[in-house]
Amino acid sequence: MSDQTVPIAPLARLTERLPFRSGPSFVDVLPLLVLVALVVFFATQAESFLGSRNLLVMSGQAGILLLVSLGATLVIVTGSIDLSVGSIILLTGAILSRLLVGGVDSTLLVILATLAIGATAGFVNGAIFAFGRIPSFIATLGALSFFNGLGLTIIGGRSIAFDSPGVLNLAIGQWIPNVQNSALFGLVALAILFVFSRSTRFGRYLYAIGGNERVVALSGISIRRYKILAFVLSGVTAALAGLLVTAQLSASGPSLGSTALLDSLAAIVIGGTALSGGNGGVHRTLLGVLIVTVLVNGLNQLGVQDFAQIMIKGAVIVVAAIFTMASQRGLHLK
Amino acid sequence: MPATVAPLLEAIDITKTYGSNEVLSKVSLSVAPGEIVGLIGENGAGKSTLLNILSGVVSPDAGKLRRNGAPIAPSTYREASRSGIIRVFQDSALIDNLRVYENLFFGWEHFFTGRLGLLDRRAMLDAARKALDAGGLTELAADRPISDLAPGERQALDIARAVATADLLGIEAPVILFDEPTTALDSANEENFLRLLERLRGRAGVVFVSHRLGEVLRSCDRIVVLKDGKRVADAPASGLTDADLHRLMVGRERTGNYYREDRQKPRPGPARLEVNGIAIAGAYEPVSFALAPGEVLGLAGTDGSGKRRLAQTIAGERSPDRGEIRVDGKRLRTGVPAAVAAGVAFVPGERQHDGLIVRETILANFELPSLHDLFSNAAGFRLGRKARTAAERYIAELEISAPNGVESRIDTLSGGNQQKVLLAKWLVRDPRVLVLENPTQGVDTGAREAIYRAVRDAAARGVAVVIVSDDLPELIGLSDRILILVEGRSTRLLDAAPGAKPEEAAVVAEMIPAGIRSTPGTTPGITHV
Repeated sequence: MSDQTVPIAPLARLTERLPFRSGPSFVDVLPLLVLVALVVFFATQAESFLGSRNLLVMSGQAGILLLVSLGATLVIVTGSIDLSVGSIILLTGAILSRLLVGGVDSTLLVILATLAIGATAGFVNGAIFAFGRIPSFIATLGALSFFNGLGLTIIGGRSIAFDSPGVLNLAIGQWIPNVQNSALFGLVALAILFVFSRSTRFGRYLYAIGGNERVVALSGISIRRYKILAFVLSGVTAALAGLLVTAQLSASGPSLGSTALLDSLAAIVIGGTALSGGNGGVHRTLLGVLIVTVLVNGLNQLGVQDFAQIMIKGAVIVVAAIFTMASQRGLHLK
Repeated sequence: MPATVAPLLEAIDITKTYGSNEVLSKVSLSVAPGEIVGLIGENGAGKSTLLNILSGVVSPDAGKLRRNGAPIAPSTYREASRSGIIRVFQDSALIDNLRVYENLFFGWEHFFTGRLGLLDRRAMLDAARKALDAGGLTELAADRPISDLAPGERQALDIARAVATADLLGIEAPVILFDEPTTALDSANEENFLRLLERLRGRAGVVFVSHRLGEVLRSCDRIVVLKDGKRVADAPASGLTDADLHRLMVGRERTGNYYREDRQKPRPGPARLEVNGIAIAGAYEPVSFALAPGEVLGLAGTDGSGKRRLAQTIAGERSPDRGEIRVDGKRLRTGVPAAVAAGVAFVPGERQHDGLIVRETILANFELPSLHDLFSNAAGFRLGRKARTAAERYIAELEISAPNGVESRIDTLSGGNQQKVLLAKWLVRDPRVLVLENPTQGVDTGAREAIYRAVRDAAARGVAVVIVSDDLPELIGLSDRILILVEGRSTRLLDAAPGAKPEEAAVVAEMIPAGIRSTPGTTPGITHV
């Protein structure tokens, strides 16, 4: 149980030091209240919900969702969107499973390959968007289709299983007792990207671009460079998520990553990062990820049908967006 | 006017409070038939709130409104419009992708429904023709798209629309509210606007908000001055002077020389900024000049004269087709990053669109152009404390009034304070060349003084300054020399030494294209380039 509450306590302190706000507002604490309410609800409804086994499973699920949502959050902070994260997961899984079946068995090599795949895919996205001067929605929609097709071609449209204890351990091992490595990866990436976005000039540029691109350009800053950087980061975190999912299953398959786009967007919006860009951030996305994970897992525990779950997720996204937008309008009028 | 006629519009003891902040305190104002009432005050004095209340956008906490003697309480803008109180908004409310006639009757299309409830386009076009002719826009085709209208035409259309709306609604004597209509206009268009205003006098009452004291004095019958939410004066314009208004608005005398001409002295030395034959096809023809350290050059011209493009080229935002720009003898590469690296700073005219990220804090805006050098270390980590200390220094130096210090969001600041932040973000870079576009547009008198002082301080440190301003007294007052552009050609370079400044009228005469000019500019003190 303590494993689950660990990330929440420091978060309350973080929200008090949001990069661009002076103090926590209603919308800052709302996701926290929702999370607590959900945990209490599911704990009373399903005995197994707070069982140590389920907590471990949830930490793994949350870690992977966190990874894929982190880079995507930074893209959204710049006022763009990356629709291709799910397809990058599929592409990564496809390539890695081919490599592993083909005789590669070095965990380090697998990680390096993952980073290379993610960075390349992200760079392609960013370059098409920045140099082609088309909306990121269109650029990454095209990329989504392309990467999906490429991934499916690589695995021939079927599942490819591999047997690699080292890779499996990357995902479900416990370098820290009672914390799945997937969760560890997620938290480490969160810490790095949090510092990156708050305390480096590159991170500040991402927020500034989301706030007003023209002002940034007239301040003598190359916008393209930093837009591409955001997409590269998004590609890398998506690929890392792809590595962990594939490792967890010890297999890749055609449906890999198919829920990642919706779930990560849900987590980002619920956390309170507005799609219009310029505010929010990775620290908020952590809360969104925990809410989505608890919601999905809890509904599973209660035996709610898959299809109904999808409907509930959709409704939650819309409600969260309404709250986020309302709070921004409120701030703007003050 | 005889006392028996009820005022077209009367506001009595209007009070409005936001939180603990009393924005308007028992303010009264009346508009007689055919009267033009000027409403002035510094930013934050309550002008906008009063206009919002008169036009139904905001409801007052206390006080009454009367229209032709009868009480009204409009709760929406549309309700106010129906009773004949029509507002011309600060940023033209025309819709770019619609045509002239569609804009004229936007929101009131139901007056033109024909059979089957469809719009009767012919009737709309006919009515639009009449409205345009009445508004002096005889040349403007009713079915032209709005997007290719010049600023002056847009403004005339905004006014024609207000009158047309009143006509549609069958209102004989509307009250038209103008919210800083001339802020974005250059001198020639400003003249045009004042003529249009004069035409309205026959049939409407007008409330006219402006920062330009000269034009308010010239065009208004009566002037109402607000200060800190209170009405401090309501008097006929004929008995007032520029200095009176300034004193009433700011609450103290205008001290000495407004533009600090006494401090105007370029320092001899090798040219700081050299512009050698740069040109952009379709914008301006080859132009050359050189500025000594501390020299201030004004660029004057009408809209479309190329003065803005020229300033933007020096700032690196546009690449010249030919020619070169040198800063301290070193040739400038194209692009804003290269210009910034060479010490060129650019304060764009549209501060909310191009100058500042309005939803961010003062600090975030202040540090932005300097994050790559002054305010970060080699690894790219931000030097937060250093940036904060520097920002705080400029808040004190430029007298920026900000409720939460460097953490104040830009959109909580007045226009004048925003402009000071924009200036500060460049001053901290200790620039060699400062390019200013309308540096005091929409800025109140007190803040103007601080901005002029900062410009003089920069010049005293040897910064070469290029100013584009539609406020001619300001341009003349600040500049050492004034370059006139007419339709892209640089026609004259006027000397504007302290004590020997050209008259405003002489500069205007130079700015007007030769075909239109009635009398050739023969003012003494003007030399050909």
